[in-house]
Amino acid sequence: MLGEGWADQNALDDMHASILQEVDEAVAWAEQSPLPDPAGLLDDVYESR
Amino acid sequence: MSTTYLEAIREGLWEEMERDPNVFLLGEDIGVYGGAFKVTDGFIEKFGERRVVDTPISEEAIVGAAIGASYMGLRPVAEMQFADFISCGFDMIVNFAAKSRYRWGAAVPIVIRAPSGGGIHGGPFHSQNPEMWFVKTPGLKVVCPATAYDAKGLIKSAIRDNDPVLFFEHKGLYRKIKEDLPSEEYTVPIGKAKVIREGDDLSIITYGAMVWVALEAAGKLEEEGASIEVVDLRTLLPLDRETVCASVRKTSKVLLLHEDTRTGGMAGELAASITESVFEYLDGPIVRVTAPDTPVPYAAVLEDAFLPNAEKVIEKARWLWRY
Repeated sequence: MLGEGWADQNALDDMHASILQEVDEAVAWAEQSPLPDPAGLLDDVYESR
Repeated sequence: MSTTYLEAIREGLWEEMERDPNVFLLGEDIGVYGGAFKVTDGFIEKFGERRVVDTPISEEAIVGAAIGASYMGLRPVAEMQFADFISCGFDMIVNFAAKSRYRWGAAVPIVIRAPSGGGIHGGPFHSQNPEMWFVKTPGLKVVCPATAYDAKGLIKSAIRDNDPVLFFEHKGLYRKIKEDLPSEEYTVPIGKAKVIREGDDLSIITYGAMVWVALEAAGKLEEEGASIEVVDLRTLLPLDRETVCASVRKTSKVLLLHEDTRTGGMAGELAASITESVFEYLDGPIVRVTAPDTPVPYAAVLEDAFLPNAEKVIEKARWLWRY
């Protein structure tokens, strides 16, 4: 991408950092979220549930 | 020395490759890497890359190549890295392998190994039990060993069989169970169920990893005075209806147990067979314990709720026993 001029190093670094931040935030959200309720075992198999 | 379920499969493959130079393996990462679960670790060093073939990630190509090789007199053993992805080779299996003998008399002596089953928190794409996709396809044979002894004996029988055999090996059993195996060579016949625990009050008919759940439940119910018989089907197609019906005639009550989802599961076929053949022997309704009709959940708490376990079996079996 650098060789073809499609992006410069700063743009790639920013992209890399933003992706890491998004992943870290998602992991933190997942780890802080409560475990699923077993009563929801059949949820989302079909639209009506 | 005790042998694990995984090692038993390794031994069976190894012995058959030593016995017959026409046997060879193919699959994704089975050679240099030794397989996702290390079942074929060390095989490429022993047998060489012409007999342990690393393939591209294409189940259709793997099964298709296996069928073609079998037409040429070889005996391929194809590995699906996870049974879930056998769907990508579905057409080759059900339309070519299964029907080749019927359409033009060509034998297809292939084995397709399929690591299946849940309880390892693998989520919906790495935990399924897809055996029933194939049990309704005449021309195939479908085996589901529960013990190390049967895993070794059945993989050897499958390799020697002149028809296509789907070999569902439960991932949860790979390193969980072990037993002493005979030092002398043996095979286990395809199409023969086994009474793995004798009892008089109630029969649990099951297969694969659920055999161990059934035995655990039977042991606990024995403390309450219930005598539970456990039948391990071992092969789903062709189905050993004779052993199933003999057990029902003996106990007059039957609980059908499988890890697969309920609708279209093996229990339905078993219930129909029992009703057709030994209905007059029944002293209670046929009871099923299965996974519910949903994909296998990823979250551990949901997967625990999804999978049949001893507690669920005990509850249903106790009710039926007292019926």
